Amino acid sequence: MSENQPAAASTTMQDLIPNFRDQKVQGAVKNLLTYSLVILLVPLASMFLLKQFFFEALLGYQPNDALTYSAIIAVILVHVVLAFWLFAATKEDKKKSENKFD
Amino acid sequence: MRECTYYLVSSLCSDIFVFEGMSLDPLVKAEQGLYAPFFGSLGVTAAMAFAAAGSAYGTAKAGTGIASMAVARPDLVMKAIIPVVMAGIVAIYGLVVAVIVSGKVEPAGASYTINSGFSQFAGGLVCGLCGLGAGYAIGIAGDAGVRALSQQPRMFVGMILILIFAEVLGLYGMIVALILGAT
Repeated sequence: MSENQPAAASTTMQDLIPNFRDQKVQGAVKNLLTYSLVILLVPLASMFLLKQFFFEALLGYQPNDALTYSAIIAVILVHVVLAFWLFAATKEDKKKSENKFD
Repeated sequence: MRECTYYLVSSLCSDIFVFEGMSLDPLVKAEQGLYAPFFGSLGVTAAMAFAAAGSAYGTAKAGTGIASMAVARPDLVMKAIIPVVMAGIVAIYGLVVAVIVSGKVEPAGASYTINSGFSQFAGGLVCGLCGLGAGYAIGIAGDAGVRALSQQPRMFVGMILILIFAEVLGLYGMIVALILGAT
């Protein structure tokens, strides 16, 4: 009775592992991890680094103005990363359909 | 130090207005009420909390859809995760407004009046509630769109357009909040 449980778990893992070994799935997951990290780090890093080192140090703005401008730039950068994400997702689809024709 | 200057400014104002009429002095004092920062801080809280609530709902609702469609099509994960990313961007709007407004909250005084506190409260509330609505819309549309995507991959463009129109609602809220908080 107690041996049934691990056996069932291992069969589900056997079902899952080929999916992760599949080239397409692997590429998609790798892409996903990269883009997720980028979209998490880019807005926060750009907001605080731009405020500290660009607007305050280089241009000499007041802290409040510098924060507002760097926040606007961070929001724009997030949308740029999102646009790249959409581009990558559609490109992935095209690559897949080309392989299908071959 | 600040209390000292506040006291000096208010006593100066009272000296000026004593000659013009006693009625203006309580008005000036009431404009610099000590509870002004309360409303500013409440604006910061509202911006972050409501936007995060909308984003959380969107992530959870779209996440259930992704979990049920990815069993059959795990290679579509890059496309299917987009509603979750857009819900996350709504939370970034709230974060940006909260950080900007919290940088402007000061102790009450001549430079930080009731008007500033109220307008920051309004800014935080408008950003938070717009984010709540946008996150809700992204969750429902993303759930249905992701399920449709596994059946018909051409649905992708339609899903993206719906999600963009939903997310722009949160962007409008952030723009109004920045205008309100900047004045």
